[in-house]
Amino acid sequence: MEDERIEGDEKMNFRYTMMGAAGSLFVFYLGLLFSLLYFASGKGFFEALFHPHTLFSIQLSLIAATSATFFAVLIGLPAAYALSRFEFVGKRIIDTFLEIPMIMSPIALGASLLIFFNTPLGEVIQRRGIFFVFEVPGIVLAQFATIAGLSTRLMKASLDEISPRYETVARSLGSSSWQAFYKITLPLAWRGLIASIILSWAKALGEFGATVTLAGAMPGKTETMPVAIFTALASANIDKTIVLILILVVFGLVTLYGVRLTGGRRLYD
Amino acid sequence: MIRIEGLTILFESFRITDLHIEIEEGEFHFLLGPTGSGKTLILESVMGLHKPKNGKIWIGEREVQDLPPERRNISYVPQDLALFPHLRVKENILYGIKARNLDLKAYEGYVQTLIQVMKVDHLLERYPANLSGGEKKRVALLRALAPKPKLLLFDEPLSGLDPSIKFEIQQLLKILHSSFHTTTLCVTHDFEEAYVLGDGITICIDGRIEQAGKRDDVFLRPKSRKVAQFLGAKNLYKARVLKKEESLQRWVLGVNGLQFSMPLSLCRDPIEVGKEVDLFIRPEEVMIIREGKPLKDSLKRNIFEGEILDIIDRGRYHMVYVQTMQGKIPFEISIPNYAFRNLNLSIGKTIKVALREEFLWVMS
Amino acid sequence: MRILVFAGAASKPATEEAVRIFQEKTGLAVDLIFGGSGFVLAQMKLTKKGDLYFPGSSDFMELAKKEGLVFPESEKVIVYLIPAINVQKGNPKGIYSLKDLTKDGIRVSIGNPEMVCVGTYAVEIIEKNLTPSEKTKFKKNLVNYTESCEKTANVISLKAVDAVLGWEVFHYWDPERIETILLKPEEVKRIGYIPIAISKSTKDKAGAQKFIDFLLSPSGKAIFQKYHYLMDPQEALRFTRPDTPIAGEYFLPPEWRTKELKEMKK
Repeated sequence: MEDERIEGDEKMNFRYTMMGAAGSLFVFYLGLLFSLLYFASGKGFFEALFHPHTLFSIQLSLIAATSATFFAVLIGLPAAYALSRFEFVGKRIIDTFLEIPMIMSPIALGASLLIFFNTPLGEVIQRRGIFFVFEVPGIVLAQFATIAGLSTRLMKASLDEISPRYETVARSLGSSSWQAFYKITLPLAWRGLIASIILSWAKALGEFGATVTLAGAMPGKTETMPVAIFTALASANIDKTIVLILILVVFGLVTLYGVRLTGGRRLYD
Repeated sequence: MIRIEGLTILFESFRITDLHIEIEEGEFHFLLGPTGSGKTLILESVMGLHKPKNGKIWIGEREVQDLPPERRNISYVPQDLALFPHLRVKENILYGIKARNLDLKAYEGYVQTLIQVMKVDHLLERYPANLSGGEKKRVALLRALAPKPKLLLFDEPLSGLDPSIKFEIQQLLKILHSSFHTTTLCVTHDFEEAYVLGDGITICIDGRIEQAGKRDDVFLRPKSRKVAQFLGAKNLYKARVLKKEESLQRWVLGVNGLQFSMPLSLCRDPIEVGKEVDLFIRPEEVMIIREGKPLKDSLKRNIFEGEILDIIDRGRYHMVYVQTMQGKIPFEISIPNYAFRNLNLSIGKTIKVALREEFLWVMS
Repeated sequence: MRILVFAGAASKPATEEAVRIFQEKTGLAVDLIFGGSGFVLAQMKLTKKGDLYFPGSSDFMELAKKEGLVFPESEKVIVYLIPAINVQKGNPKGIYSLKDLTKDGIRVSIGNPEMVCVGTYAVEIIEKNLTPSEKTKFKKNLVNYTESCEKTANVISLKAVDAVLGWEVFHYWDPERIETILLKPEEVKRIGYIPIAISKSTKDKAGAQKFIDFLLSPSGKAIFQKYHYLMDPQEALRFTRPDTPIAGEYFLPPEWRTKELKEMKK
């Protein structure tokens, strides 16, 4: 009898310790949010909340992050497939290169982009094509550069989970490579891919260093939420800073949670 | 008719050169070989997953070695079945027909028949995750057969199954083959499987074709020691040709001092006195003599005294391990139960064994 | 006892050297926290620490005084600043005057007038020197507001724009990449300066005062002179008209607040 009880205690100890770790992380972040609320004062808070700039920044952030994620997936998904399924020369180099944006600080990334547009090729692109420096496309480019490596890696991991054997069988039964990918691999990897996309979108939404360096911090033009937060702090406007942080967090969480609810419905059991 | 000519595959450490295999229409053909012999690679080349360095492959009238898998009109059942987890059984089964844009109506009757034969009609709405091992195998077979492929490819179809289910599936494969006569190429290392189901067999060891032919030819008349050993030949001995008895039209061979005698006519390979050869006889063709019972002629020439070392009950038959007094040569003898009961054998007992000379097999 | 100085990054090289020499001379240890002037003010406010506030320009000092974070009477002027046009080295776009900034296809940037004082100065210069149609052309060429004083110089170094309205001293911050084009004396509407003051959260008022005194001493001044700052009003007035005011307040016309600016560009 006594042995059972001790074993039970040990089991509960283990359980509580693990759950405790999860709990403390939650408390940590919740604590940060509460401190923001504590410091906020009434008047400045609402002023900043309903300022047309703020609404503009929210809109700009959401559009830019979504666009950047769209492009990252457009090129990243096929790239992830190649890295997952094919063997080819230079595969390991490419894989390592995907880590570059993670190593480079965001400002370094933004500065590199800025310097690129100073090269002859960069100048041609800007003259004949789109202007990126200090323009909205620059935001999308900066965010894309930041998240592309990560999202490709994540999607590759999701695809790795699905055995290539399914595609082989599909092809033997008459599906082309494209059809096998679309009908078999993609639905099976769906959950993981959605999670990768969500994570990339969130990272794009919060991106600051590369954005501000390449696209500037023009309120009403290229001021995304993270840039607006920095600007507010750089003006020593604490109230505005707090409001914008809270708005960013709320919007971000709401969107992420919403996508999880709808995206998670593709089950096959 | 499936024809493979001059197939050369160079992949990692595998070197398969100049492979020739011919499979007749409707034949159930086995590519038999130990694990790692390169047979999966050959299968993948036939499928179109792997581009061979050289060679031609014909499926029916069409030359297919340059075509991608989806245009070769084949079906493939891998070892782990790979049923599509996100599709219902019904959709899995119809996948090939839909992928090839075939007229569903035209195939409906045929598919229904298959479903009845396989007894899966109550499983159609389920997902693969909710099927038992045997049910999964049946659905996988159905999926492969439904689009009426010109060639069916199996990879170790009976591996990983409980013995009872193995038997059931084996029977199912037999029935399916005799009903629909789909040309089948099956890759396995299990020679018993090949024996039960195969019409034709190609033996592939270390990337080389050691022997190919009808099932009985290969099993009863292996070309070399390597093949014989792989086919589970027990009673395989190194012998020397001692003399040729012209008057009796017989060869005399010696193993460790023990003398074997066999008719000239039964020895297919050319041999001569002094040559070293491999001698083998299947465990089923060695008899233990019952005192008092008359012996057939074919048994009279090779009788040896020996001691029983071990007896193992294998359910439907017994394996008796005997060592001859002279020469200390080990024999494995397979005795069906009804015969075993009448023999009253025990370990340590001295008995006489007789070899059926028409099943003595010599390889040079 | 250590002294903590919250400093705007604009004067970093000069300040660092000044601190070094000060420590050698007096043995008093000084810690420096650099950043955007507003940024470090926010830090000073939130941490309730610091002995001295040394921003890059006067407007943030005004803000600090307004919020009661410094002793107003302790404020002293350290160096003077003259607004000017800064272009890429070699002046590839051939900009030699204020009006040249209205040429078609020129990309210009100024500091954000709501938070970077060199920006407010720039706006005043535009407002008071250009005709309405010239102003419109200028606004068309205005692609960005920079968020700090250093960034205003940076965007020239990084060749992100063709010209900025910054401080004349920018050239010395990056002589390889920045060239200064002086404005005409009558075009300079205001002279800027870099102030220093004692923070109200100081624990060592005497020590803080010692540092200020050092900066104002001949040896302190010599350091800033080495970095090409203007040390007294006379030097500054050489670039302007005799009656040009020093600092003071300029009321920013609402149209320069950025939302309206964007709408006007459309």
